[in-house]
Amino acid sequence: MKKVKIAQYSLTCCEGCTVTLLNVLASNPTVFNRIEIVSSRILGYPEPVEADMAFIDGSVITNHDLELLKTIREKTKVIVALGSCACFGGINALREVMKFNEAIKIVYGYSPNVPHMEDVEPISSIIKVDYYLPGCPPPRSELEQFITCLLLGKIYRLPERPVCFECRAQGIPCLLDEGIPCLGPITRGGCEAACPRINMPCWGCRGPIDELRPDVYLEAVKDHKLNLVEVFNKVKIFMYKTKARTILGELK
Amino acid sequence: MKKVIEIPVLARVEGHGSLLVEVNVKDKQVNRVEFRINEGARMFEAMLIGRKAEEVPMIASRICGICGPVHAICAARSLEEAMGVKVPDNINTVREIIAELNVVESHLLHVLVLSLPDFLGYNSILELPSDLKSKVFEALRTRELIGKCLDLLCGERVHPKNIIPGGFSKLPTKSDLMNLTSKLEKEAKKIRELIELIGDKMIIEFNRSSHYVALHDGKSYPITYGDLMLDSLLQIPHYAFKKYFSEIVVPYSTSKKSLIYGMESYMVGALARVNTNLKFLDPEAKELIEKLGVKTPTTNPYLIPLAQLIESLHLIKNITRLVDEARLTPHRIQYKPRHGMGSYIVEAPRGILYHHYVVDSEGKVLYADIITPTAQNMADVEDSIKTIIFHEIQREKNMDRLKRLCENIVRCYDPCISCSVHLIIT
Repeated sequence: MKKVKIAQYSLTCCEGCTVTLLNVLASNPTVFNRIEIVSSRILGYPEPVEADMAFIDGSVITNHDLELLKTIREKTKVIVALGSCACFGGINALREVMKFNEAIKIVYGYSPNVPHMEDVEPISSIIKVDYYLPGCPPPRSELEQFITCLLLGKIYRLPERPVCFECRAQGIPCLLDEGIPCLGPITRGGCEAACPRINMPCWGCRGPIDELRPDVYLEAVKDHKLNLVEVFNKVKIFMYKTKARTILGELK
Repeated sequence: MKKVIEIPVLARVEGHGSLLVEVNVKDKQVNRVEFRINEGARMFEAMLIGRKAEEVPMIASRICGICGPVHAICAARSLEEAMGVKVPDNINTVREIIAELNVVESHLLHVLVLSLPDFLGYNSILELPSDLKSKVFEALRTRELIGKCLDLLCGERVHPKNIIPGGFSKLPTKSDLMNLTSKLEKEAKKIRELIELIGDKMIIEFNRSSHYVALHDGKSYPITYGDLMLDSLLQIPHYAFKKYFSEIVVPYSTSKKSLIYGMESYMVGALARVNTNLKFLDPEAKELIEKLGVKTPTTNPYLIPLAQLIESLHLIKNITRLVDEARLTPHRIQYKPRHGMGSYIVEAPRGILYHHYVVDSEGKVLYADIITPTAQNMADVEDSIKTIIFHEIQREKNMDRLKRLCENIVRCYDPCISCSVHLIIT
């Protein structure tokens, strides 16, 4: 059987998604035997080459990221944005709270020789992306499902339910009721409510759901007498560059 | 005649780095060595300003995908210092367990996937001969088990979810934890066999004495407690870190370089820890060092990956001991935020990690400063390359070999480039 050629690239990020991907591949021998890793800096093959599928994590911050991304698109059939930074900017986009050129002057006193872009961009604003796997990092079970679909030649679809749905399904008490600002109602599920399960609010790391109802969420926030500014600050952490922040910002 | 060795993209390291070495072949001198960090500036310190204390460990862990849990623990503890919060000892013991698990997880990834191919003369772990490859994959399964322990203890192994100032939002039950960690004992044996199999192949003779800095408490092998020890001579409390170690900016990199008194390079990480706390290593680990014929304390940077394996063996045995004694309740204390400043140091996999915060009366961050091990090792990497290349060009002119040596030594230091890139707002 012909092996599927897989490439893995990292732009500017923490590379936690890469580590998660490699963990999944290394602990599933049946999957591992059916793929061939043709490019991966961390495995010793830094050059971009022709591949059936490329997993890209990180966002576009330097000019080098931009050039690399264009080369990757030319050489790859299917592009997968791995993790929130690649999908919609994620936590990297939080940098935009400050003007880059001003900050760099305060910090370094001069510009470093690594040319930076003005803004932080997710990869979809530069090239066409075929699949999105959001999350910080994406849930392992989702990665496993995705790769299985890939090997079977099927299309993978992201779940379109909010995190709230998964909390209810598991009988986890609602954190909004306890007066804790939680982003579960507007965040895409599929993580089995990993944070509320251990008593932490949802931070929105998987980005907004497709059918976002900000007005309903804001009403719930008001009903529970939560601090609106605090909620909005929380939205900024992972969803700075998404419609969730812009719409909520306008409504606020 | 000038010759330039350039490695535009360093493979098998975490993050984007490159290397430039300029040698004068005629006079047999090394003109300059530049270890360049090309990762984009991510400005975590700027992101943290204005954030509430309980959000900080969660954001700080996103600095790195390999040592996330250690970043979160260091952030939580320095915020506790800043707000004058004292947590019960059992919480700090659980943090120590998490940090040790994280160190072993990172070491196994670095040694097996990133560094080992250099010592055996291969490009990648995927090209190893099949019998050795199966052994390496066996050891990666040990790493998977460590990862599962982390998943259970802190929600997620890459970026922990439950670490906050004051303790943990939730912890598993002791019996669930024991079920998992009881399997670790067998894994210690596997690591031992691995060291016996590949240990002697990971020794390249070379000496360059540097300064070695690690945590030390005179009783044990600490990861999240104790004072700094410089060359086993000078004890430095964590709040005095900035007095002894200062950072300089270099034009060719987005990372800063740390130097002792702004002058001398120093080494942090597994080798510095083994050198400093040799006495407190597990007897089995010590015995292995002797068997391999390594003189301790050692001044050979090529031995860092071997030190990481030795340390992994020690830590796995220590983790099972700690888990036996650990109490998982209470898992959290309530505190009242107050205005203050505080710092803390823990041993990340690659060496000492320093977090410093100033918070206002509501516990919101006013100022943040993070100094990572890779930024501290930068100067030492460059000095080591300088020495190695200087010795080599006295008799060798094969540029390819010199290039391979450079790459090998950089990878030995296990640079974590994502970590090193952050800006300091003053």
